[in-house]
Amino acid sequence: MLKDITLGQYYPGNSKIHNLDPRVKILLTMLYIVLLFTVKNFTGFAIFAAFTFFIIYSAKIPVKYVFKGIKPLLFIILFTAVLNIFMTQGRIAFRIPYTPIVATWEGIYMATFMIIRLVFLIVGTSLLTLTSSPISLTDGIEHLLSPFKKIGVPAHELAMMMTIAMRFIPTLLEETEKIMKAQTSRGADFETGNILKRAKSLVPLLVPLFISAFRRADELALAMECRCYNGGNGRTRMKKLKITKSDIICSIVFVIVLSLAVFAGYIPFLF
Amino acid sequence: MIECKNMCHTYQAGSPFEKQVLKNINLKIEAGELVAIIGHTGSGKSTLIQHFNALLKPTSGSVIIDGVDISTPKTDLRQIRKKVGLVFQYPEHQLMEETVRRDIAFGPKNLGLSDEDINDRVLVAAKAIGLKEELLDKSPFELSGGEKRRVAIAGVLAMEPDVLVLDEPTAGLDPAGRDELLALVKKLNDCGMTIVLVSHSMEDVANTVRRIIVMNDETIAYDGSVCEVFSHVDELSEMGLSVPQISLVIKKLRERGVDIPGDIYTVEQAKNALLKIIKPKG
Repeated sequence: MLKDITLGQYYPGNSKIHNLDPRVKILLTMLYIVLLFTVKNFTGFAIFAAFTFFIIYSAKIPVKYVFKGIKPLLFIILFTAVLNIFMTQGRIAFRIPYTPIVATWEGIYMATFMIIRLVFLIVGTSLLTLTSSPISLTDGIEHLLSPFKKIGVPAHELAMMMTIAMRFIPTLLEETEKIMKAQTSRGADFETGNILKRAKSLVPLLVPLFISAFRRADELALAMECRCYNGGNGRTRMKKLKITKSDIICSIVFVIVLSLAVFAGYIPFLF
Repeated sequence: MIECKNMCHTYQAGSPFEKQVLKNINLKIEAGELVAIIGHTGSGKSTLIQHFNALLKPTSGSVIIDGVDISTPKTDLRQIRKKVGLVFQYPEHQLMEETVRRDIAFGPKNLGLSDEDINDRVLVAAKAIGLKEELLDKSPFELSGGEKRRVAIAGVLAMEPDVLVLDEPTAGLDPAGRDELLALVKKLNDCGMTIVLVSHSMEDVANTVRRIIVMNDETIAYDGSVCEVFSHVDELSEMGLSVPQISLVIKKLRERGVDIPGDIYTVEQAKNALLKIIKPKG
């Protein structure tokens, strides 16, 4: 049940996409997000979609697996869509009987736009985490942040915190599941009842979980100090990141295709 | 009481992380038995016992608890969990209430009992597990490791299950605490409770149980009385399981031609057998 969460989960593999430099991947993902919000029409989105599917295909990840990440956010997406449909001013499409609530054509158009944007936002970002291991990601982030060290950004510490946080997500999930099972076998019920009852039923789960998280943190800090960890100064790394030819080629293709998608929005006769 | 028929379990079936952990398990545990399940880490024993109170359902095959197949839809799983109490590994990690009393009461409360009944059950369970009454109003987090574990076990006992399944109950306890706990398990069994003990320590189980089920490579390797199982000294060592040290000594003695029976697994038995050999000569 808890293991079904795809968002932010690494899908091991050895494809071209997997082997790209994490710095390049992070920057390209950021670009992807920015451009996604500048696309103005459906032709642009079509190019975006085609390109995204191409990336999924070349990363050799099952499409189903990628789209599973949308499930937990489905509610937010639908909520935004409904808001857009009913809150936008414009030509009336239909009216909910006996209420002053009106849906407009402009609203429906906006809602479709929002849905597509959000879906690709999720798919695009989960592609980043699906194809790069958490370690390489934080490594990339540390490198990208290191120029800001001069103005006092603790790049290494941030990266270390992120590495540890990500490292412990599966551990804590496992722990949660274990405690859940233990409390279930003592007759606890996490699945039925109204919201209030369910929130209350989380107490026997959260208290032991917090205790164990603090215990783990304490143990980890001790273990790190025992191995003479004292921050980023003077630390060398085993794997140095290197920009290769394929990184450059991928970046160029990426930029060209996505720019096309954006420019499609400025061509007047396209829908 | 508990019966598994051709039971298999696969984790995360259909994803790239798919992993079969149980293959074709067939076993039957009768009421009143005291059984140990042993196997090295990752042999599937923890997964197996989670089927005993329907926390997990078999991917194929069936698990029947007291005549009820847990895979049938609409089975009241609570009834099964009431019958089979499961104590997890390091159960003290699941403590969460402000006082020991309230923590033990968590299970009975979930069963929907009256306050009086709950109070009775707490006292009975605490007494059965050897917790002093003055500890009941302390915070469980102030107790020592051994005491915490007892509180956690009492929490399951208070549900008054017919079967008690304990996953590595002696892990992390000192020798004295371990012996006490095993003695207690035996006592519970004498009172009529069916006990399933999961362990990787042969020495622990040799002195406690009557029947041993050995798990290896996702399936049952041996299932029989203690003597039977420990007579497979070589095979067990190959599986990475250490037989009781005394069994090894006896085996070496037999290899050297000493005429001593091969089904010895406790120091007491060895002493008697050796005395029998030595005395007539001396």
